[in-house]
Amino acid sequence: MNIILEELKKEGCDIDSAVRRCLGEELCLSCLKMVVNDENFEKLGEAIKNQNVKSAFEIAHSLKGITGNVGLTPLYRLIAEIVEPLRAGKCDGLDELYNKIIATKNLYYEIVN
Amino acid sequence: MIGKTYTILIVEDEIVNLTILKNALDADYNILTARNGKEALDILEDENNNVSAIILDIIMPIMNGFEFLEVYRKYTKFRKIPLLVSSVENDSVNEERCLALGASDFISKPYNISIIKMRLKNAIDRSQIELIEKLSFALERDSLTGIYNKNKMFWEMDNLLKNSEKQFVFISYDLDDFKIFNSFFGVDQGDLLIKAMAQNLKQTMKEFDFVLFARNANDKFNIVVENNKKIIFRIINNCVKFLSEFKIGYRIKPSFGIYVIEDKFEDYTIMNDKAIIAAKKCKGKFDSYYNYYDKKIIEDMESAQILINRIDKAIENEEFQVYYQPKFNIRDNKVVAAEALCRWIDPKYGMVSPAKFIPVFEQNGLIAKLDYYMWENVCKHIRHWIDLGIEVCPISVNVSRVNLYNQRLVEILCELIEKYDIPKSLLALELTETAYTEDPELSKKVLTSLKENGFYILMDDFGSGYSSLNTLKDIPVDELKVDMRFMSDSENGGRSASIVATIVKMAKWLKMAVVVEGVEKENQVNFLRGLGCDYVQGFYFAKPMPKDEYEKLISGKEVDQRFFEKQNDLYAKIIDKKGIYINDILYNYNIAGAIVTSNGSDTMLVSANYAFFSIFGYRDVKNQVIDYEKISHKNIIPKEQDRLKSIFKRTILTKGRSKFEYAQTNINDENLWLSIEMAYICKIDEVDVVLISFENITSQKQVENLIIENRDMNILLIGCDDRLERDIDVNFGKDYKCFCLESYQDVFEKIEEKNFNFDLIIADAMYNEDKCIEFLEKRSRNVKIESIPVIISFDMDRRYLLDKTDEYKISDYITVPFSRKIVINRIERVLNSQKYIKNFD
Repeated sequence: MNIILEELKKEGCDIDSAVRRCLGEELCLSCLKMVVNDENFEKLGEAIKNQNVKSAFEIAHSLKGITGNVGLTPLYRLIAEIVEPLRAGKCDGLDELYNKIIATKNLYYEIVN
Repeated sequence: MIGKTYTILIVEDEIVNLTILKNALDADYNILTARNGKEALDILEDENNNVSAIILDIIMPIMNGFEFLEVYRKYTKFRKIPLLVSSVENDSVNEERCLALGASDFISKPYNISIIKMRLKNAIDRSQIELIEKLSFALERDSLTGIYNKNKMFWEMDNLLKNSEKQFVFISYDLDDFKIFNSFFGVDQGDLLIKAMAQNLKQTMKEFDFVLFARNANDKFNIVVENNKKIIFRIINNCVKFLSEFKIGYRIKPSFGIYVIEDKFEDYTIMNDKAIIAAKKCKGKFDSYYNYYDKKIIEDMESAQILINRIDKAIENEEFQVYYQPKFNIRDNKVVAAEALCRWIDPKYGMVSPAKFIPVFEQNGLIAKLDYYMWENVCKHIRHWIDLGIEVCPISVNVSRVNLYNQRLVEILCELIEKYDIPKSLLALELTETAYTEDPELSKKVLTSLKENGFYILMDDFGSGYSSLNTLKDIPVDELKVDMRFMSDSENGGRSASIVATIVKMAKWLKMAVVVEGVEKENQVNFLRGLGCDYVQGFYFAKPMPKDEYEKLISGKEVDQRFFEKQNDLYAKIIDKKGIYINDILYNYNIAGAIVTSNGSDTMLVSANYAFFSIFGYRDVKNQVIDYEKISHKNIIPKEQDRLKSIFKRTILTKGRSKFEYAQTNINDENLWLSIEMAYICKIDEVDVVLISFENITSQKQVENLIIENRDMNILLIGCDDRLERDIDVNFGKDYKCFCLESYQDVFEKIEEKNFNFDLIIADAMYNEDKCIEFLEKRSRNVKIESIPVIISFDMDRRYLLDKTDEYKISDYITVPFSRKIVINRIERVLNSQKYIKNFD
């Protein structure tokens, strides 16, 4: 298996499922690159800061979908956690969770790039 | 899937998701993509005919999934395209909302590719079913005019007629000279006229309730409407007026035939025929637009038409039966041969007289078809008798005049002989003298050829035509048949008798065999004996009889149809009072019948015929002790006994008839399904007399049961909770039977017990995870069970089971806690897909 994928697997990612989903490692890798480079991670922070709940929810929801699909399970769980208060219209007190998300994303970013 | 039959549209804003989906589905489908709802609508506008399914993401910029669904729902032309909504997993709130908006199903992220493929396939299969339903709808409409076609109308008539107390009329109308109109103005104009007529009819019918109308064929339309002169005349007048204005300077005249429906259960085709016959009466008459069907005037025409229309069905339903009338040697009264006669037993009208239908069929050539039917059946019977080891006498069949013109006649007969592998000497051919005299040259040729091929030929009705006795020596036949009716016009007795006598003598002189038919009286027999006549046929010796009876006769078994009389006195009294009627019923037909009396408290079997005892398993009534108690009580379960008693009582009370079916066992304790009819006869010596006829319908019932058994559709639940079972029962109980197993124990044996007859298995993997996996593993090694789709049920903690869907060929999953709507929707998809596979595999 590709070394990047091996690394991610060690971090608790469900790479096996992701590879299966992508019918191969190649597509899986390119999708992973797209996800860790996604600007939506930054946009989510801005939306939370600006108290734009609707936008924050939509972005988080999107991120949840893509992180799940590429098997970044720990990140996916964190995003799933932030989706629920946003769905309920709450934007406050999410900084800590958001920071965790960015930190985890950055970790993967380092591995993938 | 072979080749890419279907195109799907993926609507998804996230490039990552889109890429994965596209990559996964690319092998099976042509894929179109859109990044938001608006783009999707544009594509659908363009390509809408080609898209077989849509996968829609719910959260998107610029028109999200919900907004798209709202629009999509309004567009009728898109509505038939199945739509799968994609969202993050376990989002049951959104899922339900989407289903309510018309989504077909749901797929969740992270994607499970095999589940997506399965759901996509199910959704497309299901929409194909809908397409087929739509097609069949199209089949119900007349393609030119868009109004009902005949089939649909006949179908709808059931509802209209049978759910209403009103009396209706069946109208058939067409144009007097539509063909001339067409050749005058061209077929296009003709089509326009028909379309306009349909529109006009539609418009007129809007005024009334309880109507049906259809285009039957060409320029023929049918209407069913309440029997109300005002309404009927309004319809006719509207039509006449419309047609008079259609082409200036060209008169188009309709003819309406109106048949008042007396019997709502009458065959609709016959109603139609009757209306057409009525319409014919005003055809070509300048100002006669309608005519009511009148039984008296057109009885002959009607029956001829009806008989002609019914022949195919009658042949198909085997309503024509071969009866055999034996020929006897007058010296020792032994059967030497038999004539096969055609009897038409119509299920509704009973025996149709050959005197009625033979001339009709002769007139239009259908007789050739009937001839062949008879030949084939006789050959079949002969074969059957030979197989039974019965010594078979020659059977003569009729060859109608039209068959003389059939160049393949000899060939056809030889083929039958060969097909059934019977000696030619056993199939004799009868040709009437009049057929011969009509074209002696041709007849001679055909008969010679038949003789050369080894067939035995009889000339029927000899003496009725104009053959001079002198030509007799030239006619290539083996045997003459003379009808005794020559002698029956007693006025002229002497002369007729001498004709018969002359023929018999001359035939002897020519060394031709001769048989006299129509022998009915003793004095005739004596006369023929005196003449030295050899063979006779007629009621005096035996009536034409059904195959089984004839079979008994020739197999040496005594045919004794007399009653088995238990109580001679009472029976004599009944006969005395009701005359030959009862006697006839039990004597002439091969019906199992019994006469039962009741004095209010006790019932008693007075007499019964042999067929009756044979139904209950007695083979030799004369030498067997009859256990009446057994056949009338012991072998009937108490519940049925009560029913029989109450129906019997009702028959007496109403002095009427009752028909019903019930089950009991025969004397050998084998199951016996009977259809019985009770008919009240009379009251004698303070007792009521009832005639009961029995029909053995056991084999019929067995076949029916078999069909029902095979038809039923079943769902098996393994280890699922009661709530799920209830929900399934409520939603699918009409079509599916639900079987529940509490655990996986012996599950394979139980499936096998039901002959693998399940359409779906719902298996619990939450409380019984290991057992479920074990079951799935075992299932994948059993082709019969593997072909039954499986839905597994689990909670989200066990979502890793989803990875097994491919390995174990799981059709779908449902998650605990259940959302009823989603569960039902999911099961429905799988069942529909299964139905589709069953129907079209």
